[in-house]
Amino acid sequence: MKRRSDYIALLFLSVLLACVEPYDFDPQSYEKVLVIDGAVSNQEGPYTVTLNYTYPLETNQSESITTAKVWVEDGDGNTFPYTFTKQNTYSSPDGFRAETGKKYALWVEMPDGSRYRSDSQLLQAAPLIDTIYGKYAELPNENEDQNVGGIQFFIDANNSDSNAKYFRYEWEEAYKIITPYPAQFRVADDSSIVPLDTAIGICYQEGASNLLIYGTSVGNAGNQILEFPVRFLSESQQQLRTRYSILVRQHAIGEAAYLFYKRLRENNESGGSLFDQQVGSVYGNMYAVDNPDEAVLGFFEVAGVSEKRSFFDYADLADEINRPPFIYDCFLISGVITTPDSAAYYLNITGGNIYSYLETSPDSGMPSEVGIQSKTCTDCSFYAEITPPDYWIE
Amino acid sequence: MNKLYSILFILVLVCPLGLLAQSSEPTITGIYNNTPATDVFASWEEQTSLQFFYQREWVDSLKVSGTFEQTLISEALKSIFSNSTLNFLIYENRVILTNNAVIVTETALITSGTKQPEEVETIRKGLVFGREYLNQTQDQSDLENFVFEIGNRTQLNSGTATATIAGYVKTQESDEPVAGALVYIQNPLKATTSDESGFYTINLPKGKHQLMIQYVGMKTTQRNVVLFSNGKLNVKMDVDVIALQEITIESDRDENVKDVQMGVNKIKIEEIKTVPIVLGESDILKIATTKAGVQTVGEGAAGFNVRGGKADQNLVLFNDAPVYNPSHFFGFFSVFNADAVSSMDLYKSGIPAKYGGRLSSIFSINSKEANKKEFHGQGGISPITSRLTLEIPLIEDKTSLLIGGRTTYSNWVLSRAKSASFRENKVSFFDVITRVDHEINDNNSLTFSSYISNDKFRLNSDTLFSFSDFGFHNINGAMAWNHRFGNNMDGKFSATYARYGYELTYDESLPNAFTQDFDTNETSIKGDLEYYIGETHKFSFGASMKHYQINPGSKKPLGGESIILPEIVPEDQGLESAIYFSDKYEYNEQLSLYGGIRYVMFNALGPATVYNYEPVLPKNGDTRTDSSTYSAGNIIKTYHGPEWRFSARYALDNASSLKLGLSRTRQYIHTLSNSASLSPTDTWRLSGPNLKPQVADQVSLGYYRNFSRGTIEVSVEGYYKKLQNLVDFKTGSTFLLNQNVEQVILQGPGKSYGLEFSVNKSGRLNGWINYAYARTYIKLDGDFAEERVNEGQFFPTAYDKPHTVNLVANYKLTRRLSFSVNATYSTGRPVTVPVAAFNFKGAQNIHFSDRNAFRIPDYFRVDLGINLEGNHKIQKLAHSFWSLSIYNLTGRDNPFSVFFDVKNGEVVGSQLIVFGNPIPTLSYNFKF
Repeated sequence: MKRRSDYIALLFLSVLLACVEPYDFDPQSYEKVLVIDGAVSNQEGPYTVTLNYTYPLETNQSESITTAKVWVEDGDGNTFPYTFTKQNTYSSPDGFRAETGKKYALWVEMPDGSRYRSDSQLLQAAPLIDTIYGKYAELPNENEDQNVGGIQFFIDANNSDSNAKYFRYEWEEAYKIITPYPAQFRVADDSSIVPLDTAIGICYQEGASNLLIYGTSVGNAGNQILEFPVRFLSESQQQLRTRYSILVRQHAIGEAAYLFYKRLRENNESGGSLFDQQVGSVYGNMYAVDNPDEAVLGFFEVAGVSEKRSFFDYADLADEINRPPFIYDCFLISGVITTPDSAAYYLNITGGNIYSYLETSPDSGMPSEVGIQSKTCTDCSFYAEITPPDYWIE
Repeated sequence: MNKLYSILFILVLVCPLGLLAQSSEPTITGIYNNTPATDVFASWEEQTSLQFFYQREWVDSLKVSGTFEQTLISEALKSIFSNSTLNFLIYENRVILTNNAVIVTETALITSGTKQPEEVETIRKGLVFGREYLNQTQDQSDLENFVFEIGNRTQLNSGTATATIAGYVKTQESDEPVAGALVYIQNPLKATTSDESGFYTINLPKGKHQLMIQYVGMKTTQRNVVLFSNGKLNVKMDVDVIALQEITIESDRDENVKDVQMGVNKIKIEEIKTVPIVLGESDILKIATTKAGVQTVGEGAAGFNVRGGKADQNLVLFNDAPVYNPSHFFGFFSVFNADAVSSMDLYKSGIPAKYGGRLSSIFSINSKEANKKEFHGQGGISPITSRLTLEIPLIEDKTSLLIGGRTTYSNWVLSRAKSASFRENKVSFFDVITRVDHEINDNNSLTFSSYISNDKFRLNSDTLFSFSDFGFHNINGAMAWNHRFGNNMDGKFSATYARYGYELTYDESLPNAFTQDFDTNETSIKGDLEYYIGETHKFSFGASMKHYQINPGSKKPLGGESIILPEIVPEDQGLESAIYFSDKYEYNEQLSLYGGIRYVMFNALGPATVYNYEPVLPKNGDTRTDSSTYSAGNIIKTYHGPEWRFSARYALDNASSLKLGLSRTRQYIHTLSNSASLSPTDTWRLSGPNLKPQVADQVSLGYYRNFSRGTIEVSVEGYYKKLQNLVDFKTGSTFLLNQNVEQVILQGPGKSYGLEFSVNKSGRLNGWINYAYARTYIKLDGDFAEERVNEGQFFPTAYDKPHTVNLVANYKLTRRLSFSVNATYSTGRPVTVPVAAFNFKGAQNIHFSDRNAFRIPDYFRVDLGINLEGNHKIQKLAHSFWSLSIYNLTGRDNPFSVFFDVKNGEVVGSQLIVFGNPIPTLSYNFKF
């Protein structure tokens, strides 16, 4: 990147012209290490454990491990054998539900007989999340070259009667999509314009976090967590356009887990400043039983979980935010106003849908009008669900 | 003049010819037995109307014995002075005693009465060099032809065949010391240079000499001396206005070959003009990085790596007080205002015994001493900064004040930028240097100096800073008393204070708003003495005591809504005491030796609570067994040991020599940093039960040769360093507000070695080129997996850059126009890179290689500078010059770092480029 500055003054501010460019890295070696990712909680199972190997950077394939033995052992010596379900994943037995106040450890025995185990950890109850709320904020965009406005969603958790101090958060979100010109009608076999059986212009899209979000109440008065940021949505993102729902799940984890997640995430977001931290491999709480020097990646998390869901309408959000534009351009002039006779023809060539039908009486002398818009402006069913999720509340 | 002649005339008539029996001459009476001469004179003053004039030290040791009965005063004086160098003159009602002044009077006799050949004859007999006096002048205003008598005349033929002249070289106009002036005689060639306070000492055969004094930018001057015995001679030098054209005399031309010291770079502020500047600010520390053996990890990296040393292993001294963070603006500017600085000595090896406390190097920077006669000023304006330095005489010839300030107005420029991310950043800094010099008398002077700097920034998009405002400051003061004990001994007694601290503020979220700070305070007293046993032999000795007080971090809630609890990491306190002795001895023309020993004791002091850990387990919260509590002032832990410093020079011939150096250094204060370059949030911690002192042993060998009468200096130096207890850390650890840093610190041995070639050239085309091969490794091999890095093997440190080439060249096209170029090449520094990816909790994650297993691309940069000076009329109100520089002329993208992020679940490699474009800067500088 050679950023041309329009401002002579900025020539001198070369410090701030420091820039980040893509770097084509040619990996020169590859290290194959077992990765164990598992968790139990006081929420209903089944719980899963995935066994993977690291894979070379340019590939995306991970070798399958289908015949390992996986079990969880509680503090009383009870074991709960997992069964292989699908690619790399093993599931807990029916009826196994972890309980607060008990300790759990994960064991894995590979087909070659090598055994791995985790530290035994106590399951702590998670305090409740009091509120989820959004505030207007400006944060750097993805390229970090400028700030964008948006809504930062925070949680408050009054944690006074809990011992838990370290938390991992996950969110699941859903939002409603209303196309600018929702399809309302179709052309029936007899060329008449009839209403659609199912609305395809209003849909629901779901998503989930794939980033490690962790926090601690250490150092806070009353062990509480206030204004903890969980999710930022910029004003260019569709989520904020109509109605948005977010579920935040709070996992009460131990200090070791907290440090592991923190280091892992710092590794994943290592760069871009003049004072980059030293990166390096981060090891969790899994160990090779017979060979203490063998590297094992991953973590077995034991956590109490609490969760809360909230809904937000665009109108309820902070005034500063601009309403996100619809992802597709939908000018009226790009649509077609035609007569019912020609509708089928236009639908055929544009691939669009009918969003309006003005039926005039034959006496008026005026022809009936059919409004047609492109598919993207009338129909969202090809990329989102038309049925609202179970939990959806209008 | 007339008066002098009349005195002389009377002298001619009266004194030497014995025409004394004038009836008017008073007589005295008295019986004396070993009576001090002063008492005798006092009694004679009472008896007669005479007044005695003399200098007390001449007669201190003179005792009078004898009986005088109505003796003529002249007879009496003759008899008591018969065995001394004293002479006398009775003039009107005064008795003027002179020491060896017989020569002056007799010279006068010759000049005023050359027609008396008989007298001339007499005088010649009494003098060794009578002939010279016939051509010399007694005119005190013509010092170059005046004859200076040094020492006691009677000792000419007694005792040793040589004697020592000592004194100060100062400037005529401002009475400032001239450091590094060359004082020599031509036949036989003997030379010495003046030290920082202008003091010199030279040992010469007794007799007549023409002493030459030279210094860059000063008129070469000479003194005719007759050396009888040890004595003093102060010299004032005039500024050479013609020297603007070209300076060919260098006092230290042969120093690289002749001096026993090796591994030293002496950088004068004049050299700054020869290097293209960046962002309109000359920077003496940047010049250091163009010398062999000094590296930085990249643009904008604060701190230096000297011969494979970590950035915290350099002691930066400003007027003898340490500066903990010598950078502004993340290291883009040094904190020293070039206008107020006079010189810098950088010791890479063979660190003199008087310095200690850091492993790798000493950067000793001295500010200017202000002119004591005239008001002067100097300043500059560039697009980012402006600066002004004033030299103010407070009491003429006695006291002067130097004050220099610098500030940036980049905020002003920033606020006019239209891009959001620029506008959100705020950066500002200032620094102020003050210095007061007071000369009490020839033997005593006082210096007070202070340095204050302050930086503030608010960075919007920097990913590391989770806080919004950051500020750091240096506060620094020094007080020194220079005292001369007789002709052979110099002493300096000083007290210094240094503080470095930072504070950061987070106020983006009111419930979580806080301020956090760190500071380190160092107070020290010391005495340094130098004893000259002739010009070939010098003892230095002294003692120092230093108290450290460190607040490693404290966090406080900010505002009423904040739920943050106050948190304080307990203070570190320590006492570092040292004594040293060294001897520099020029055995003969070939061999010169320096040997020194420094014995240092460090006490970690309470109050403190020290945790103990299971001895066979890694240190962490679970293996903590118990704790010991120490109350205030109690010693927690003591470390002590000798540090030897040895160097030797063997001259192969007149223009080449071999040098050897051996040294040990210890360090008791360490930065905890987990980034490659020095970061502003690094904290300093003291050694204690869980943090051992770092120790370095260095052996170095060098060959030095000068060509073309010293205008080309060539040197090759090799070194090997063995290091112990280097401080490192477990991956992913944090040091900010860490209550138990011992749980994340790792210590291990290191080794560094290298070879440095340099060529320096002076003249119209001047500059230097050097190549350094340097490697540096560390080994972290603890007893547990978490304490091992790279399987416990030696691995290259983050600042290991094997090959470095620097070229600095300056060509003076005309008197007013000069061009300079600077080119730098170095191997890319090591980084840790991904070797694999893995899936965890729904996203890709990075599995890293061994630490520092790969390197970023090589670094190459060319800078160009053009200096245009205003006209050179001496009478101009102000001298000025324009300076245009282009940094990174080729616009090469030199990565500062290469890093890997997970973006949208994918591993993405990126590189950070600091100056990817050519950066032109125009600045205006003036001087009056």
